[in-house]
Amino acid sequence: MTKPVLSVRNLTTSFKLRKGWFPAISGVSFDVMPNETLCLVGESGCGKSITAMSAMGLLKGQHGCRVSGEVWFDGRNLAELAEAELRKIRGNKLAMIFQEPMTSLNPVLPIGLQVGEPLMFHRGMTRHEAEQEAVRLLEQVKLPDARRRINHYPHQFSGGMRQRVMIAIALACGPQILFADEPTTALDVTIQSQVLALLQEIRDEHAFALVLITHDLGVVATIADRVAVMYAGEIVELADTVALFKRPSHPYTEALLRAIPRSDRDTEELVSIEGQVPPIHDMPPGCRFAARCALREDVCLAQHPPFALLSPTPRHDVRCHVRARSAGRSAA
Amino acid sequence: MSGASILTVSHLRKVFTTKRGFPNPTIVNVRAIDDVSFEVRAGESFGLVGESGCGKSTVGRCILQLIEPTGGEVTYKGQSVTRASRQELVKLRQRMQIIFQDPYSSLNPRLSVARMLTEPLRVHGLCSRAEAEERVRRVLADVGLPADAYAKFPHQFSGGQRQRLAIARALVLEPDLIVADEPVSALDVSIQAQIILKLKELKSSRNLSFVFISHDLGIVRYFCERIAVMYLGRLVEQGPVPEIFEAPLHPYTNALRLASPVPDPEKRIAFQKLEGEVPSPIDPPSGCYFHPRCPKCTSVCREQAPEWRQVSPERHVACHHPL
Repeated sequence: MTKPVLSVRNLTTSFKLRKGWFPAISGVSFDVMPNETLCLVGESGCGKSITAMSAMGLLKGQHGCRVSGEVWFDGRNLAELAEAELRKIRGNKLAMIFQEPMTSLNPVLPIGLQVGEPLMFHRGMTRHEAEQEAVRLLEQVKLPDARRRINHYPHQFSGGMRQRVMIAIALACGPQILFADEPTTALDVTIQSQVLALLQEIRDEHAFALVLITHDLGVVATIADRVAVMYAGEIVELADTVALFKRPSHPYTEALLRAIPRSDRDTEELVSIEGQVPPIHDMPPGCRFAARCALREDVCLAQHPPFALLSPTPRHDVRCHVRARSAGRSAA
Repeated sequence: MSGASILTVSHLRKVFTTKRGFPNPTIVNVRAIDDVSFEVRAGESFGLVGESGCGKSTVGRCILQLIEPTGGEVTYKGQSVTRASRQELVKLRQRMQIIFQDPYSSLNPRLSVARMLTEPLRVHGLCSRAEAEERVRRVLADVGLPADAYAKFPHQFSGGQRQRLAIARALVLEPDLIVADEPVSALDVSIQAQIILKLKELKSSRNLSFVFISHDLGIVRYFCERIAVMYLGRLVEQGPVPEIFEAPLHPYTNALRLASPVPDPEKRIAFQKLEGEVPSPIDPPSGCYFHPRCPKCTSVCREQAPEWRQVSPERHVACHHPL
């Protein structure tokens, strides 16, 4: 059996608010397998970005923020590493790209230098060598006329091209995992599909694992091998993409799929999810989706549901009392 | 379905001037909308679709004269909006209202809900104070807000509730036509569905017409009866929703349709054949604006802009080689 490249166990990140410490994500556990695409999907505020940032160690030691849990990568627990050690891994074996490339690129440095920077830092290349390598990387992400354009600044590129530059930076040191946080959300659909196609292509070419964070189930269906659905700071369902869309098991996943009007066929009935996500400082003791759930029972309000195995191959887990029980019954 | 026309937009043009270049800027003209014509029928939702920068929002604002168009005409029930005097315009705006995309910037944070919603009634001198309160309370209930919302301020509401407030503000004057400019794009999926369903319900209960501006094809397909597709300030195609989605005529419409991801892994979008990006409207390509990206481009496309022509009673297209 193949070993996961990254194992996240019980990751919990709390923030300090006026009334005390509150977890933004709690007990998040998942594995990332080599060369797969895992999507973290959920609505705004569900903790998908916090999950990625905590796993990368970007929140550690930040004021008003506590991270606990384990992040196993390359035989080491990143959660226990010192910042100096983490810096040797980030941008090297673990890379990340963000939603808005204009805010993550440095506006006063030419892009060639920004793409070459990780190579100078992690590989000890000279500036000249790094520049040569930058041209090669930018050609790989299909930036037209790369050799001339390495001297251009970020504002001279369109949104789609900037995202390509970000991808080139992430690729520089041959990462094993690339975290992409809403990489196409700021882009138009025709450009989005170009960037998704590029991500897919270079993932296969460089054999890294892609962890893609998105709110768009259309993007998930397009690119993911496995999907983790998040709600109010927890993973509520984790499954193969095909299984998740064919047999969504958590009531939230089901409801979400019925709330999206489709462009490829007529939507007979659009069903909205009434109510709202509970606020971070007022999480209910039971299931966090209970207040909006159609399958709600007494146990859902009283007890927090565990993350239960629904089917072993392909693995499908769900955090729901009702669904876990009916699966258990049919197995027995 | 084909009711009488309530709004007619004919040959609408808007040119913005901007400065370009440093240190010696030159003034350049940007054709944000170029010869756009369509009509909206009573009781229908007319969708305007396109990518960012295509001019769809500018069209929406020109309809209400929030931006003054450079040329062309907008008429509402036979009365010219573009040539209306100030007083006439005030009267017309009672009948036409707008909902903006971002409910965080479109609501004044210092006005309570009560003031925000009675203000339009006062401006138009429609009713007494007591009547106004009653009307506002009724409209709040109609958009699905709790009764205690009346005394609150915008910051006490979530994004979805704020958008309901924006809808209430548009509805309080009991208009016939609403320009909805990306009304759900800033909202999460579950809230999006709530708002769309609410708009649909209000549309039938109040017999409203909509100009519905959106980049999301799924939402447009659900909400609209007819749509027009825009590219770089020009209309490229127009027709009834089922036909546009099932048998698009313009290669751009088709590309847009194929690039829109669908939540079904068995229908993964074929990764885009559409190369290149939307050119700048400051410096548009010759001939058909879409030709540099078009798979069916020939020499005539490079030289000549295609005519906006009617291909069937309900459909228009601007393409030399329709699909």
